[in-house]
Amino acid sequence: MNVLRTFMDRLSAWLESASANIKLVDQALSGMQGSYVELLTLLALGLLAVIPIIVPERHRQFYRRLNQCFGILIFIFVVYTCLGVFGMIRNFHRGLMEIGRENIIALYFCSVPLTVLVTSMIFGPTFCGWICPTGALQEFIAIPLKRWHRARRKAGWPCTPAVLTLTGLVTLVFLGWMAYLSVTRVFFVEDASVYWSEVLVILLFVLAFRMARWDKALRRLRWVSFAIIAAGAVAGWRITSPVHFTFSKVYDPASVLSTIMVVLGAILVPQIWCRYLCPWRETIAWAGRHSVRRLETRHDTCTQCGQCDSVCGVEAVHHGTVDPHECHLCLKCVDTCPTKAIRLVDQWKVEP
Amino acid sequence: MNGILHLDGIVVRQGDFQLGPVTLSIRQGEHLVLMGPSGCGKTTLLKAIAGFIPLDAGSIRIGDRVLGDLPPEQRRVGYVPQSASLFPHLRVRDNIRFGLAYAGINRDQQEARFNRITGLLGVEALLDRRPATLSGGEARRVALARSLVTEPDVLLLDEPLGMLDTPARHTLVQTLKSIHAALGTPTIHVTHHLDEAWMMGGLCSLLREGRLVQTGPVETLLLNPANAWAQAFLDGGEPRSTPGATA
Amino acid sequence: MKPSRIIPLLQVILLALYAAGTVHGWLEPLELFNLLMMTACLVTTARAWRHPDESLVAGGILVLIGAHLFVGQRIAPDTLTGGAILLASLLTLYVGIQINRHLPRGYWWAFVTGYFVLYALFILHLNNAEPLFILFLMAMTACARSARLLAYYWAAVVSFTFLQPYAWPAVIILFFAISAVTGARSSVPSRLLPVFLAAGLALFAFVLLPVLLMLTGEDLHSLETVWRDPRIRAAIGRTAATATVSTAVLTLFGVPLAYAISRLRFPGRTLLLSLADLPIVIPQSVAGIALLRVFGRRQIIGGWLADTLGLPVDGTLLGIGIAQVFVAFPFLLRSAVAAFDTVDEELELTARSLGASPWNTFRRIALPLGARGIFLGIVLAWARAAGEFGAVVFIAPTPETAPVAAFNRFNSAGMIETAPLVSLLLLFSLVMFFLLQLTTRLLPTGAAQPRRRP
Repeated sequence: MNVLRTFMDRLSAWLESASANIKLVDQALSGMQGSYVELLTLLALGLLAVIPIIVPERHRQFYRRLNQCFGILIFIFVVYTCLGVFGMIRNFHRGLMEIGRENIIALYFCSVPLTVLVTSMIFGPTFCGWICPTGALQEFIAIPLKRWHRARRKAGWPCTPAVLTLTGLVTLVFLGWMAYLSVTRVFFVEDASVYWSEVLVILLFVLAFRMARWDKALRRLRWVSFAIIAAGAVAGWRITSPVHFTFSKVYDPASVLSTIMVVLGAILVPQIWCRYLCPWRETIAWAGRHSVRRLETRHDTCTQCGQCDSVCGVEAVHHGTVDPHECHLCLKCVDTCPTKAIRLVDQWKVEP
Repeated sequence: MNGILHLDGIVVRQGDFQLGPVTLSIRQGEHLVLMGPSGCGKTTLLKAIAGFIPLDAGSIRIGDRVLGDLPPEQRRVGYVPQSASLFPHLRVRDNIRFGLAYAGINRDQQEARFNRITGLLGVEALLDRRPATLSGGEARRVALARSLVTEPDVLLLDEPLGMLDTPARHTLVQTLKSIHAALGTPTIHVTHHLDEAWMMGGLCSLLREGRLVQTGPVETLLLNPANAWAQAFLDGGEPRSTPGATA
Repeated sequence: MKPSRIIPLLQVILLALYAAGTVHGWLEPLELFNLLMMTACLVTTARAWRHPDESLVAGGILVLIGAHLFVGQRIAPDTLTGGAILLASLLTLYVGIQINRHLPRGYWWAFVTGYFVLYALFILHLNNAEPLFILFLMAMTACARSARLLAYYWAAVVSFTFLQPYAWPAVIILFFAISAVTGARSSVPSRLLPVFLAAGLALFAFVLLPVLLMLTGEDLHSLETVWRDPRIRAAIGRTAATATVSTAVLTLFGVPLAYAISRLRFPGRTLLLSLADLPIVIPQSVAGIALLRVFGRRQIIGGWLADTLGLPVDGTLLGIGIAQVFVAFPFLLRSAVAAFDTVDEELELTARSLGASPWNTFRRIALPLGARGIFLGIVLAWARAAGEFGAVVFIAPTPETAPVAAFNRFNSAGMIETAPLVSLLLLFSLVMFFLLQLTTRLLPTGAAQPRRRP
């Protein structure tokens, strides 16, 4: 126990010095006036959402990564909004309530969520695949494990000893960190991110055993988390997002824990946060269903080779057909398709 | 078993309508098909026998038991209403068992009767279903089983083949016949279709505006109608236009 | 002249503008925003060069950028607000062109009219509302493709601008109404029915608005403070307990009575049924005074109860219970009679002929089949009993029940102080009500169920 504590103390000291460095960087950027920050985000987000249309198709995935890096930069250093995204829902509510009282403030609070929603409804849900820093974080972490994930997916997400061991390790990290936190500090309601990490750990166990079968059902958890956050916003509870640490000025150990849990979770199951827990994903999915731009498959040219199925990080493609409710519009399926059967289509007319 | 039903000049008045006086007797093992146009008092007659409507005159006997003013539950008369009337909140199994609890017999006997009757009517496969999921023919079968487990002295069937399609009618007729062969319960079977009487092939009675016109084997009735009205009715002017009836 | 030729021309004009602005000092050439603008111009031009069919969009973009370079500074308080307006305008331009191209005329006119309405609303009518203009303009571009989304959109605009303190309740009600009316399907094609629906919903909104307002108005902390007040807790507990006991007594006597009324025809039956509604008809204060006239300590019956049996009525839980039974009675009786009426009498006759006694028939057939309706009656009666104020306050001003407590607090502390208590009570009743409704759905009904034909 003592060893653990010394280790944790050192780790947190290191993290603090690291965050001090980050603060040095963001001082440079936050020299801008407060009002500029949100507006700049709005402009930047608008631009980032349009970029997927503009970039050349040949190196699209490279530009996508680049875009994601910009997203991370913006959200860490400019907005300080955690893109674990609870903040976005809460801010949206708050901004809407300021309309008519403090119009400028209303714009600042609504700008990010509204821009994301509007661009998702017009240019497709590119936010998830091209901008969202949480998604990017999970994706980047999983890059070295691409092969392993694909193999597991092909086998129907079996419960292998390796998976079980890893899940156990993640749980150990969680429990150890919790033990450390419990002796070093007092918990507040604001530490809700701890509960989200708990949920994530439980989810990991469920997924280790039943992923293939319960995948569809578990994705409804996003609705639950959306409902919780929305109700919380209206009732005035403060619920801190997990993944708070990475994307905000607040550097507290509970949030670090949740960030690390998301990262570790994404190692075991690709995009675990986006698939099962992200509340904001649910609103984007709604926008995506009403979106002008979507992916369509020409079934006459599709050869059912299954490459798009296996390349999709969120399992939104089934036998060549893209499910608009789950699609992140990362366009990997479009780029891998050997017969170019999947393409981006603009549908301005709404089918009755 | 003392199952011989005597109706002795019974009269039931309902407003302007008067049923009877009706005198009729049915012996053990007999199946009487009571025919007549709509509103002639067929159902009223059945309900009077079952004890739902008090008699204004006359008497009803089963064997040497006088039914008199006995409440329905003490008459030992099985009544199967027109629409099967299964209890919608009970499963088929519990529907059939319903009457057993009041039959005054122990559990083993109840079990034996239950098994015998469900076997006889071929409803074993339906036992765990809900009444709402049954087809018309299945529902009638279950209703029959529910009545028969109480071992009634007399069985009263109100339109047992009504609203069924032709194949279902034929199977149900076969079932009714096999019940008669096995149990011999005297039965009154109310209908307005001549072909049901023909298919059942037993005794037949014609009822017109509350009075019996003629009683006898169905062939006799067809060959020698008692009067012009009976002739017209048996020729099938009025009631045979119902869909599903075989002409 | 071909549209594609205009693009270079516009580009040249823009560059000239840019240079002139820099020379005269009303443009900061190296400011981030202006740099972005110029980059956007160059990208647009380059793209228009390669895709001549999009030159209309590109030309529009260039014109907009030019306009913003020129006058943007003057209408917006700072460069970035100007930039945001420009972004919204660009989006509007793009979407407008697409709508004009792909959708029926009506959508185009709705879009253009919407733009000007928003402009009039936020720029001309309200002061300092450019940010709102940006917000709502962007949202409109997203919703412009579908009539239904547009309806939702305008509902939100109205709610969040003109009905601001009531915004969420208004949004909820309006969205509900819109989805009901636009989603309405009927077996008989009719345009009248949706109109009726909309008209009825408009009135219903007045019922819903206060409830929703109270529910969304309070935060958790004030609710918690109220909940920690021992007086309030006692009042709520007392209300729940007395209402439950009264409902139980009512059920014990009311359900058999309802069965009798449903099955028997007797002289005075109609009169009895109408008299049962009396507690609904008479004002609650009148009911309270009338009850006091009978059960008051100085009246004959009340005095006898208090002196002989030692059960004083006024100012005790017994009094509360009596008042609750009085006002809740018709709700239980009505629903129970209706419930027993739906139970097919043929089923009971069949049960009798199978050997069941009248009591067993009631217990095993009528009661389970009427259960849903009876339970609904119990729920309504319970809600009525728990919510009763008028009759209770006369016969038992103390001990306080929850409604009386709300009234007293309102009298002594005013509206603001009472609001958390009220929303707590609302929440409490709503939760109870929904739970009970949910239970009700699980019970069987006596109504004829659809039978599958062979």
